[in-house]
Amino acid sequence: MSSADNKIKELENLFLSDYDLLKQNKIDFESVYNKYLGRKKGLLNTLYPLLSDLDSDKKSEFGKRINNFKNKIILSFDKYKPCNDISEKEVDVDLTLPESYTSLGSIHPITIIIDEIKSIFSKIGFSSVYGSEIDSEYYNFEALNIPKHHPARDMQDTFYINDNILLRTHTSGSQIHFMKKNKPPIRILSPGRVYRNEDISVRSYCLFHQIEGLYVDQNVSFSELKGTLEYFAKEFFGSNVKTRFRPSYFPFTEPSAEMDVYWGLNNESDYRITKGTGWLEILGCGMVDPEVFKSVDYNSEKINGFAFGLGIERIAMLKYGIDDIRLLYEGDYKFLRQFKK
Amino acid sequence: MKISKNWLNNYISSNKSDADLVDAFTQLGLECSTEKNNSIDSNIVVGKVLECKKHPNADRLQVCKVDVSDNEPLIIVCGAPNIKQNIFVPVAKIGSKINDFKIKKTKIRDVVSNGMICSEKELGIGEDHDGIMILNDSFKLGEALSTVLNIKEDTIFDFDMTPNRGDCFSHLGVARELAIIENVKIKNNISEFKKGKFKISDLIDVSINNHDLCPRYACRVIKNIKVGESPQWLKNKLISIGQKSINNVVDLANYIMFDMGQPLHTFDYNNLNGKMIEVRRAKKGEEIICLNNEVKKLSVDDIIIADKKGPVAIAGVIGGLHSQVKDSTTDILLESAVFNEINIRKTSKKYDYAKEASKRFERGVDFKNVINVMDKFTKILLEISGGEPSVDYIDISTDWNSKEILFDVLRCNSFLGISLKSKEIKNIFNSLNINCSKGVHSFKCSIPSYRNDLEREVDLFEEVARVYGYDRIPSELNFKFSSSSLIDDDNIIEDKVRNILSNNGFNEHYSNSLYSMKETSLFNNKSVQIMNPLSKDMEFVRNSLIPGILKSLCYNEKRERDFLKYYEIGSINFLSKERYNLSIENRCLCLAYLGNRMISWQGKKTFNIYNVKGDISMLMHNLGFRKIDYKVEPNNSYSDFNLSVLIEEKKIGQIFSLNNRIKSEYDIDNDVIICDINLEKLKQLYNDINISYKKIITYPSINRDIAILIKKNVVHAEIVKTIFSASSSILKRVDLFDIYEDESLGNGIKSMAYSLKFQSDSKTLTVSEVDKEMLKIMRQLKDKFNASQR
Repeated sequence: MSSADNKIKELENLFLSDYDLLKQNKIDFESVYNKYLGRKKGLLNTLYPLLSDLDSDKKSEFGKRINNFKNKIILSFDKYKPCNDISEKEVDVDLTLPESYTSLGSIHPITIIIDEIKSIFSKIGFSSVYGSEIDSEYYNFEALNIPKHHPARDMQDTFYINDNILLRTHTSGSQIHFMKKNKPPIRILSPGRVYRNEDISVRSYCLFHQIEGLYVDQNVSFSELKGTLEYFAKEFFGSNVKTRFRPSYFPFTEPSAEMDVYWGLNNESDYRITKGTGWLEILGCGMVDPEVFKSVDYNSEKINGFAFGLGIERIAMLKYGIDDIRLLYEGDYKFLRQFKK
Repeated sequence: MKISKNWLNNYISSNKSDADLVDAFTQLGLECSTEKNNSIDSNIVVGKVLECKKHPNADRLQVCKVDVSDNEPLIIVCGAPNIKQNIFVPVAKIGSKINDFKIKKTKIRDVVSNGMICSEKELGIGEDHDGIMILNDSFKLGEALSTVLNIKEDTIFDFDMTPNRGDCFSHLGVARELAIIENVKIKNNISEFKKGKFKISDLIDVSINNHDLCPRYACRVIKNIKVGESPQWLKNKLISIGQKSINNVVDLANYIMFDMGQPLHTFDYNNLNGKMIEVRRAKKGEEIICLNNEVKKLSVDDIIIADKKGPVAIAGVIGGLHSQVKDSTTDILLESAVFNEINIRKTSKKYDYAKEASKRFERGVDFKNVINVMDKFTKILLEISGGEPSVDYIDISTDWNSKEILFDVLRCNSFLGISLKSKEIKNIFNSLNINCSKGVHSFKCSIPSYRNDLEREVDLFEEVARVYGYDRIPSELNFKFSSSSLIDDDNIIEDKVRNILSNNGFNEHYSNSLYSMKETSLFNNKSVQIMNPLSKDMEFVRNSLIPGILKSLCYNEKRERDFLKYYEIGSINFLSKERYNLSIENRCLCLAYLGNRMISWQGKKTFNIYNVKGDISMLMHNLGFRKIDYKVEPNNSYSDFNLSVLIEEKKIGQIFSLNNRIKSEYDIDNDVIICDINLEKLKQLYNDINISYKKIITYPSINRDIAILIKKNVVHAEIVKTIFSASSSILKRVDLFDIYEDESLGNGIKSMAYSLKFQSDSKTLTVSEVDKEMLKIMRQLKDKFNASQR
C-alpha cells in the first residue's frame, strides 16, 4: 500500500464519519463542504500533490479514484445543500427573457363584422354572393322602383361615372342581379362596398360597407321577416337583446320597416346615439315590392319575399365603441392591431 | 320637420306625455324626437331702461337701471350694442331660468348685476342674437313676458318624414296620424268670411296651357289690404317652428302651408301685366328675376306663371321680384294650385331651391284641399290686415277620380302572418279615412285625396300593419330548408387568405378607394373617372390597391413605425378596350412591407426579399397550391427589382421593391416591398386544386452535399435547373445551404453549397448508383458553367 492509498483511505473514513454527523444535523453543511471541497483548504486538495510521486500507470488509476471520491462527496452533499438560492440552480436558461420577435397580425373590424353576420345567416341557409362597385343606374335605382326624379333619390347622394353608370349607393342592386339569373327559392346575402357623395366627417364617409339579404319563396310572410331578423339580433347581440320593428320607407320594399335594438341609456353617449330614446336603428328591411319582382320577371302573385340591409361601419362602431369613422380607413397600426378574430 | 304640440291642439288634443307621443308616432312610421320644450320662465318680465351708463372698468359694457315695477329699479350690466335709455326690454330676474341656466347675482368687473337683459335667441323665440330684444312700449312693466307675448308652454317635435308621406308635411297631416293614435276624428273647421262685391273674372284671366303640368289652379283677388308687421300670435307660431317673420301676408301664407301642407303664392295684383295669368312651360331663353334678386335662365322643363310680359314666378319653386308683395301692396292675387311633381323636382334640383314649397309639391299635395286652404288664408288675412276678397274665385281643375283599390282580407292576413277579422281591418281603414265598400272577404277601398302614396293592395297591407302595430305581428322562424338555394361562396379564397395572413403577422387594412389623378397614374392602366367628385383628391375609382396601402404606410412611418406588414383585399376598376366605355372590376390582394429592421434582444435581423418570397410561398402552400415559382423580370418605372409570381406556370402577381422616385412621391423613407396579386386569376387556379395522396416511399434515401465554385453571375435557379436536368428521377431534392464569396476563390467566383437527396421509389439505392449521378451532375455543371467542385 502506498502512502497515497493510505491517505485517501484515511480521508474516505473521515468523510463517512463527518457525513453521519451531517445526517444527524450535528454539524452544518457549509463547514463540511468547505472541509473537503474548499477552494484553498479543502482536504481533497491535499490528494493531488500525491499524484506526482506515482508511476504513470498508477497515476491514472489514482486520479480516477480521487475523482470518484470527489463525486461521491458531491452526490452525498446534494441532499443537504440548502435550497434558498434558486438562481444558483437554474442559471443556464433565463426563461423570463422576452419572446423573440413576432409581429402580431390583425383582421380589420369591417371584415370581422361581415364574417360574423355571414356565419349567423349561413346557419339558416343563406349563401353569399358579390356584386361590383360600379353598376348601372338601372340596377341601382330603376329596377329597385326608384325612378328618376323620385324624391327617394335624395336619400342617397350618388357618384356618377356617366349618365347611366354610377358607383353603387347600396348593395340592394345585387337583389336584381341575382334574381335576373336565378329562380326562387332564394336565400342570399351580399356584402360589399358602397359609395355616397357625402363629405367626410367624424360620422360619415364617402364610402362604407353594407350587407344585403334577400329571401324569396312562395308564401313568405312579414312574420318570417321578423323571425329571421330577430334570430339574427339574438345571435349577434346576445339572447337577451330587445328588438322592435317600426314602419319606414324604402321604394323597393312594401311594407318597409326598420329594426331597432334596445341599447340602453347608461351614459351620455347612449343619449346621443339613441337620441334619448334608448333605441338604436340597426337595419332596414321589408317585403320585396311587387315592382321589383316585375323588373326581374317574377310573378308577384305567386312569389314573394323579404329583403334587408345593414350598414357594417355603424355596427362595428357600436360594437367596438369607435367614435370616428375615419379611423377605419386610415390604417393606423395602433388602431388595426387591436382587432382579432 | 318641426311640429308644435300646441298647434296640433287646433285639430286634436292628446293627454299623452311627450315621450309617449314620440313613441306612438315612431311606431306608426313617423320617426320623431322631442326637440325642445318651448316655455318662458314667468320670472322673465317686461322692464324699462331708465338709465344707461358706461361701465367704469369695461369699454363695451353698460350699467343700466331698469324699472321692472319692483320697489327699486334693478342695476343690470349689459353688453348689447343696441341698449339705450327708455326702451322696453325683457329682463330675466334673479332666480329665473333660461333653458337650464339659472340667473344669479353676479359681479361683472366689480359691478354687481342683478339679472340679465335678453336677446330673442336667448329666450328661444327668435334667431336674433345681435342685440337685446326691444319690446313694444305699450307693455305693462313687471308683467311676465310669456303673458304679454302670449307664449304658452309648448313642445316641439322634430319629424324625420319619409319621402312617401307628403301628406304629413303639415300640422294637419300629423294631426290626422295623431287621430289614429287617439282613435278619434279631427276637428274640421270651415272658414267663413265676408266676401266683397267684385267678381274675379273682371280682374284677371287665367289660362292653363297643359293640364299635365298643372292639374289644378285656383286664385282669388283680395283688395285694400294693409301690409305690415304680423300680429304676435302669428309671429309666435312661426318662431316656434323655427321660421322667420317677414310681413303679415308672407307670414300668413307660410303659416297656412305649415298648417295644411298646401303652399300658397301671393302676387301684387297691380304689378301683373295685362290682367292675365298663364301657366305654361318656360320658353327657351326666357329669364326671370327671382325674389332673391338672382336672374335665372329658364328651360322648357320649368313650369312658370306668366303675365302678358313674361314670367312672374317659377311655379311652386320661387316667386319673381317684380310681382312680390311689398309694404306698398294693397291688392293681392292669391294662388293655390297643384303642379306636376316631377317638373317641380327637376326645377328645384336644377336651381338648388329645395325650399319648403317645392318640397311639398314634389311629394304631392292634397288635390281636394286647394279651395279650403285658400279660404282659410282669406279668412285670417281679413282679420289681420283687413281687405275685400272677390266674391268668387277662379278654379281650373281636371277631374278628380277617387282611387279605388280592391282588398282581400285573406291575402292580407297571409302576407303579414296575422289573422285579423274583416271587421278589425275595416276599423283600421276607418281610422285612416279610407272608405270600404260592402263585402266581408274582399271589398273596395276608396283612398282619401291626400294619400298620394297609396296605389296598390300591398300599400294597404302596409297601412294595416302599421296601424295594427308591427310589434304585434308574431315572429316566425320555421321556414322550410331548401338545398336548391345554397350556392358556393365565390370569395371563399379571400376569407382563407385573410386568415392565413393575419395569423402570420400581417395587418389587414381598408383604404379609401377614391384616388386623385396622380395616384391612378402611378401604376396600372386607365382608371374610371367620377363626374361629380367630392374633390380633386377623390376623382377616380382606384385602379390598384398599391397607392391606398402606401398612404397608410406613410401615415404610420410618420408615427414612428419602422417595420410593418400590411395587406388589403379589395376591388379595382380599369377601363378596357375590349369593353368600350365600360370598366372591368377585379378583386385584388396587395401585401406591403415597410422597413427591414426587425430588432429584438437576440440581435438585429434584416428583413429582405427572401422573407417576402417565404411569406408568399407560405400563403400559397396554405391555400393548397403546390407549384409556386418566381421569375425575375426586367425593372420598370417604379421598381428597383421585380419578380413575377407564378402558380402552375401562370402569372398571378408580382413582387417588387419600390424605387426612390415613388417612395418620395409617397413621402416614405424606409424600404418598401410590395406584392400585388390578382385574385381573379388565383380564384380560377384555386378551383383546379386537386389534392391526391401519393404513396410514401419506404426505401432509404442517400444525401450528398456538394460545394461548387461557379461564376457569380450564374443564378441559383439556373444551377438547380441544371442539376435536375443532369440527373435521373432518383434525385428528389436540391437544397441550398451555403453561399460563400471570397477573393481567395478567384476573381468573380462564388461557392454554392447544395444538399442533394436521392431516393428510389422501387428499391434501396447503392452508393455507386448515387456516385454515378453525382458525376453526371458535376460534368453538366462544368460543361455549362465551367463550374468545379470545391
